[in-house]
Amino acid sequence: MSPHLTLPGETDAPPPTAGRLAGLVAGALALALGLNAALIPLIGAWNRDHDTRKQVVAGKWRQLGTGPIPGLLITGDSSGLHGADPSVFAERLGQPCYNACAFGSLGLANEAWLIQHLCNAGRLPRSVLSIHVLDVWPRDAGPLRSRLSDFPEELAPWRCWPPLVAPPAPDRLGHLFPLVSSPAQARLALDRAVNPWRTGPSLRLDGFLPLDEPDPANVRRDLARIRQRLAKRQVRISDINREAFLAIIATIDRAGSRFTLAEAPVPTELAGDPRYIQALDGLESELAGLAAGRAGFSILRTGRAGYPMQSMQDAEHLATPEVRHRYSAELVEMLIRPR
Amino acid sequence: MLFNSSTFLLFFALVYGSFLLIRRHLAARNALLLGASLVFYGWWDWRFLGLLLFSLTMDWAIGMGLESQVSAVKRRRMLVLSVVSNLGILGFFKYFGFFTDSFAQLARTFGFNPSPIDLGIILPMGISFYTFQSLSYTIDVYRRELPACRSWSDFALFVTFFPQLVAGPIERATALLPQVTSLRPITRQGIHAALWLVAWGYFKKTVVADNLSPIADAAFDPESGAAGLDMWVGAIAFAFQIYADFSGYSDIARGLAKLMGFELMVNFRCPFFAANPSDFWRRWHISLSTWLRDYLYIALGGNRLGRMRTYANLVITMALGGLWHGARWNFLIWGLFHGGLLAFHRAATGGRDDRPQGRSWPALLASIAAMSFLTLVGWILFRCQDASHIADVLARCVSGDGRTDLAAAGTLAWCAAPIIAMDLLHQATGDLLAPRRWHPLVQMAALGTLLALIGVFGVRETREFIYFQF
Repeated sequence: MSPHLTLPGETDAPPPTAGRLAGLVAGALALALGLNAALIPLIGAWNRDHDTRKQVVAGKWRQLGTGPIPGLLITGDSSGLHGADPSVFAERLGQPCYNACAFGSLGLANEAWLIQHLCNAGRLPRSVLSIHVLDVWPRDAGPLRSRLSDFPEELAPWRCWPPLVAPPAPDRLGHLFPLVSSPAQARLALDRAVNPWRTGPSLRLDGFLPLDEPDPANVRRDLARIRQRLAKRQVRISDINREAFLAIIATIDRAGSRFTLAEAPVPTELAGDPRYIQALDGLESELAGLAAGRAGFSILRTGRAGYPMQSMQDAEHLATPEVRHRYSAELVEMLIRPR
Repeated sequence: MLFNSSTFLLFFALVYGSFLLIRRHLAARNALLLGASLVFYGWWDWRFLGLLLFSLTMDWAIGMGLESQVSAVKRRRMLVLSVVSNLGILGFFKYFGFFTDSFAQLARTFGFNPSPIDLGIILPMGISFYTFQSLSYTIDVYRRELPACRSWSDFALFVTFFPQLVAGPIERATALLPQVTSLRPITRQGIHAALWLVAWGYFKKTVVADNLSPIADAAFDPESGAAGLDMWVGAIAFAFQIYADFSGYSDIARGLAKLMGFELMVNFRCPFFAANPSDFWRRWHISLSTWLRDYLYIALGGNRLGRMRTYANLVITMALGGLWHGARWNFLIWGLFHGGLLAFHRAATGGRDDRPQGRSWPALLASIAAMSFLTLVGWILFRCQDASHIADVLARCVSGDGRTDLAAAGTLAWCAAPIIAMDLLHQATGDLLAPRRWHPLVQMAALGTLLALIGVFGVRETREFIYFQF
């Protein structure tokens, strides 16, 4: 028979009985639920062994709780996680440094809890440098709640700040239905099996996580978004970040350490934007007001020259070794300069 | 309101629940569906409801006039009024900026410096789809192929029927109006087919199209510098993305309609198996290609006016079909490219029946491979923004160092595999709903797995369907 390609159509099929149709729907739903249940242990195992997110939060907590106490602890969001290279600090300061930065969605809560935890254990370094993008300060507790499971389960540090960060009931139920609540984690767990070529970023032993994929187009999109936001509203400090900041200041004061806030790296175009400068000035004066009378607190005013967008992954993350080194070197010089 | 949003799922649950209660009462059923369709459309931007209602009311009134009028001259004037006003509205919203910009650019080449005209026009969602659907009605009534619809609300439901309002299929009044004006039973076959269409449609949109979107976006980004294999991976990703996105929408639309007892036309028939240009257009966006054939190509004279005129008609039809997608030069170039392919193919075959049958398997597979490559080149033209972007991307396609991002290639492979496998099944069995014939337990397993895959790999961030912009 000669080959042929007819146009396919919708042919008539024998009608299923009502029972068979209902069985098909019920059976498919039951199977989906079964697969959902199978995902729970799979996600747990993957989180434990591979999840960089967990390593960045829980892994760093554990490491700081047991290893040698560093001379400088760098805390903050992902702008610091990918931008502040502890090896540059360590070389200049002559003592070990550790990057405990995590993610913006954790606001200042992660470092406040971490500093309290280390202080209580008598392991708080003499100096803490905190790096946050402007965008983090107004964030409320919502995004943080969805990431509470990233913290070490045995510590559950959020318990000390109810009700601001009490995990909502849907989140507590969520882990039973990962198909609905945590598709991203399920995807990551399965992705390695489906797509063996994909490699995740690797965390260095000093807590640093370098990025190496500049994306100027993404920076441009981000810039438009940030400018839009700055034009729309003033930067205010959310309740949870205010509480976290006050807790940090109080703890640092009690321990006799130093706490220094530094600006996150931003593209040149944003660094020179009057609205951005105005928002930053406003934020810094508000923070200085909140910390009034605390000798251990200071704010580093970097040159605000910014970084070329060709060397950034987005408007908050440095993505080449040169700019990371420049940013880190600039910070350490300012840190040791007499004030 | 997007099919892939939780708002729509809630909306449909409410509408369908009410629909089941009143499905045996024609007037109440139609009132519910019309109300739901207007809410569905107005959810995006209620201000454009007025335009939609004006456009459909005008065509309804012209249809009534065409029916009662016996004078050929007056009937022709009425048709011209319908065509001019429909295309005028479409032209204003869709092409005003394009023409003023192009005019300004042309003027600048002659040393003039006209001040820019920016009216801040927003393109109403689905305007190209509902305008063509409504226009086909007045042309059919003019041709006496269809009696005019006497009920405004029936006609309004025909134009606004929510499953297909914003991205087709572009239904013909001859097919959809009789379904609006009569009660149709909801059959078990219909529900069975709908289950597959909806599940497969959501899978294609949320799992395949939305996961391929970042790969295609990155490759076509002028700043990305993707070249060589990376560029080809991006282009192939876009080919699968647009197919999964658009055919996914059509499948969901057809499935939802079937759940309510309505039949919408098949819009895609395994286009990756097309073996020549005319075969491709029998498989891709069929509701548009048949519309262009019936109302434009044939009106231009079709193949009745000699060889050269036939080629010209093919090119003109496809060029306008390209422009239907949007007011950008790349769409015009894409249309001309496909028009050229059709004309060349017609010249090569002499207009004989060119269905891909009766050849050897190697020859058939070679034809499919060649057509797939040409279609891919077409998608590159389609995806670019303008002529200089096309030149840049084509140059990047032939440069590069032969290395590629394996992660992107891996994602493309796992996204494309189920699409190819399912279309291979459809093509081999000749049945676009072949899974219905599987053993019930196999069907159950396949549906359950689809649901789980949508849950795990489906992109939750609600992304618009590509064809919403047209």
